[in-house]
Amino acid sequence: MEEDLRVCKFQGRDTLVMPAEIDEFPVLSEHLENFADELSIDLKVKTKLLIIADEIFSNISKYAYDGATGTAEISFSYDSARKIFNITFTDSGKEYNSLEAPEPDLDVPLEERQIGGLGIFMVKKMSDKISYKRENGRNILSLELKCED
Amino acid sequence: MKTEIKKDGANLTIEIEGSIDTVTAPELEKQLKASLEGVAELVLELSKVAYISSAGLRVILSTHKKLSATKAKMILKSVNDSVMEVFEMTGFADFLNFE
Repeated sequence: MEEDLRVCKFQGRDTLVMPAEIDEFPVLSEHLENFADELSIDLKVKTKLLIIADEIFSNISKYAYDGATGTAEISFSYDSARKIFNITFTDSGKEYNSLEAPEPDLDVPLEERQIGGLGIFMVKKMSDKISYKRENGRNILSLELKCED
Repeated sequence: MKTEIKKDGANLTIEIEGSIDTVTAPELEKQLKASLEGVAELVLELSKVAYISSAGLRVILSTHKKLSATKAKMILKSVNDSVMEVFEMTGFADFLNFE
């Protein structure tokens, strides 16, 4: 799928534009992993980034375009002075603020559990800062993770 | 994701390596579906799992439900820190058997 990708790379920042389809996720995860490795981001933060990317990208793929084809833009950057990793997801699908999704009830036994909302719940827990805006017909979800020394 | 499946009578062991993510979780679910019948004890050996996302949790949940219905047991073995963190964060840890 190399031809579908427009990758612009410069120091400490990367943008990936790709089809919003679940099967494309390995392209994103591999890219993110390489980016984190180049910056020697610690394994714990890298794991969180991969889980966040999984949850948000799969949400966009499943719901943003109502089964039609669309794209997802994922930018990641690292601010080495502040030791903060930023990852931003943009799509042109229907308006959706995942931050407003209801939280799952974690005390319910697994037998009675409904799985909905768990992905976003994990994303909120794993990021240090998260913001959503709707701009020019696009959903923009931006997350920050602090990298410990 | 790679899996190694061992069946010994009613005991099924599946060793999983790699990530249980949005792409690989459905593969795992398919493998489990194909081999769960008649199983009294399922051991998922998770030491080589890099991470698990909610898609993977969904498979763990549906497998747990299926096995509970037949009074069979599921054991999660050698769970590493990053996977355990997800189980704890989501409240799954309270309801699962670890070894």
